[in-house]
Amino acid sequence: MTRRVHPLFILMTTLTHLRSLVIPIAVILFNDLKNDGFGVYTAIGVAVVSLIILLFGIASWYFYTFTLDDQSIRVNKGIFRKSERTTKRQRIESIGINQNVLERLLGLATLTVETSSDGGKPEVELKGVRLKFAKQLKSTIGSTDQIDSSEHSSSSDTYSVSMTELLLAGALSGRIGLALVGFGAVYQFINRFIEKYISQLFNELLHLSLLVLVTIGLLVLVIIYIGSILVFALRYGSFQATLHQHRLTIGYGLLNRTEVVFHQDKVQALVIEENWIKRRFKRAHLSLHIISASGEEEKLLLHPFIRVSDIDGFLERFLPRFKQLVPERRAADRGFFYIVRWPLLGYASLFLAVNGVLYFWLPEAIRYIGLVLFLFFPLYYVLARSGYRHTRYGYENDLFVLRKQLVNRETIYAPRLKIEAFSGHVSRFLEEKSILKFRITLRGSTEFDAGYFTATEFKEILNWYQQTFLKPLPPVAGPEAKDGE
Amino acid sequence: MQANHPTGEWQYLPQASVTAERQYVGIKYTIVALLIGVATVVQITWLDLSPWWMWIAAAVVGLLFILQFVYIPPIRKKYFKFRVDEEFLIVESGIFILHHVVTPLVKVQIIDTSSGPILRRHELMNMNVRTASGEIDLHGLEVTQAKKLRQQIERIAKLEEQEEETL
Repeated sequence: MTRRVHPLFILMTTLTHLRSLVIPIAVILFNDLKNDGFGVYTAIGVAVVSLIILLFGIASWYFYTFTLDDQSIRVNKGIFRKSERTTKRQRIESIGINQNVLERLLGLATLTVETSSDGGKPEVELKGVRLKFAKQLKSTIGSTDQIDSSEHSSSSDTYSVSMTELLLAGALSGRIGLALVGFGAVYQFINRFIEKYISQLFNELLHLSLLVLVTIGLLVLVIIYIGSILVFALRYGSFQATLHQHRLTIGYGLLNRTEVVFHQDKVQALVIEENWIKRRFKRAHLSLHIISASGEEEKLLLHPFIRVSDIDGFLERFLPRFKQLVPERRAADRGFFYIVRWPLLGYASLFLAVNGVLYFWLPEAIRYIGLVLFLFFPLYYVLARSGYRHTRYGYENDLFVLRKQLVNRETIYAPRLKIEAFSGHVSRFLEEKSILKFRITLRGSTEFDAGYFTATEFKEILNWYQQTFLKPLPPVAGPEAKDGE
Repeated sequence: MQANHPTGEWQYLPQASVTAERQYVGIKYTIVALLIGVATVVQITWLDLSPWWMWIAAAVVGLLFILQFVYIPPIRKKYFKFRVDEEFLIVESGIFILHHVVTPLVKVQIIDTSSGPILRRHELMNMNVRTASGEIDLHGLEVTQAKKLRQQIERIAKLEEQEEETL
């Protein structure tokens, strides 16, 4: 069937384009207002631009068609430059339904189909389809005639993450660094408009006492911290996952809603992250590596705040191919120095820069306060030293596990057959020390590495990896060979 | 499942690849030197400047030229080697960092071969092997070496992989 997307697509495209023009239009209007009121030419200009965008939206909608058949999905689009893209169903890695706020208001959705082809963009993207139709389409694409009749039972298994768990996960996720970066960006943006007020404020602040300054600083940090928790909760709110006929559907998002469906066997890797705070609470963050346009760099959240003791049961229910292993092979002790030298050098440069800035900016009495930062070094060293002992690898049957830990712990589980390349890396200066880092590469150019392990261990792991990847050949037709023949 | 044992011998780049790389670098830097010369003449003649900074530019370019012309080609030849073990392509490379990469041939999706005028003159070829996770570049292979490697890869890449599930 060849179809067009819903006509509301026109409104959505027009609004999206207008939204990107809001700032230039606002600047023109503001300028007009500042001079002598709105001019006729401005009004005509805005009207003409809006009309062009509307006509462009209508033409885009008219030429945007898609066709579904048993074997493939075909999308035709383009007004002047026509394009036709055909995707074989067999190559589909995942299907996603995304709804931004505008789409949710209009009851529309964007359906994305992902394959492992490079490019970073989804192979098929159907914008402006009705949500109901998108879900129907998703199940049509997702259904194959290869499902055994025994699997046709309607039994499904579901789990959801409560808001309390999400808030706790956000609170303990250690994302304050990211929030600070966001705060810096917002500040820079605002600073452009209210520069003089900000500098006045700073001048006032510099005259306050140290205690007040510290209190204000802490207050700002607390606000940022709470903001980061709220952002996390908004992004992953109403998290729900359902397993039905080996297909896992994961949906989340309070404002922008995302839903991704994929076959259990399409999971390239399972990542268990336990930062140092979460480890104190015996909780972990689970994510999956699948080819999906909706994930964060191909990582899709599976559970943000699971009890470590519940992971085994959880995996058995939802991803039986994976199970927790205790990786036995420890990283080589002689590699520790080479692991920490760059982070230490990085922190040293950062602290020196911070101290330099504080020396010039702060009043004389407290200009050396930044030196306190250097107390962080022995603490980091001790934490990293004990963490490095937990950097390990191991394998059991067809499952490879690689654990990287200095302060935070990240454990990757990847089935052997999903590892697209296995490699060892070491600088030429360290080659003679017979140590190297292990790296696994998965579909979609994602790499995980950890080290340093010994060259002997590398040979051993290659021996495990280099088993056949080929499907066994079907038995030759003809009479079966009898004993003694 | 049987473990794969090394079945192929390590293969190295031919000496001609060093010559070809040097010729390419030579041509590239001749063009750069000409551009620097023209820029200097323009600044002196038309802009009435005495461009001392062009000495710095020339020195940097000269150093890079020496590095890329004299040192890197033989080091690359020394450190680059590959072999095919039944189902796997194994490549060792890297001038400053050693990379030992093992790729199952059944994962190969595209094999690209190309050769410019310099490579053709030396009967050499570049090969680019792509999988769903990335690519492996094999620069300056002998034509016979490249064709044999392509055949070896194609033989396995056509076969069916164990992991072939649909959504």
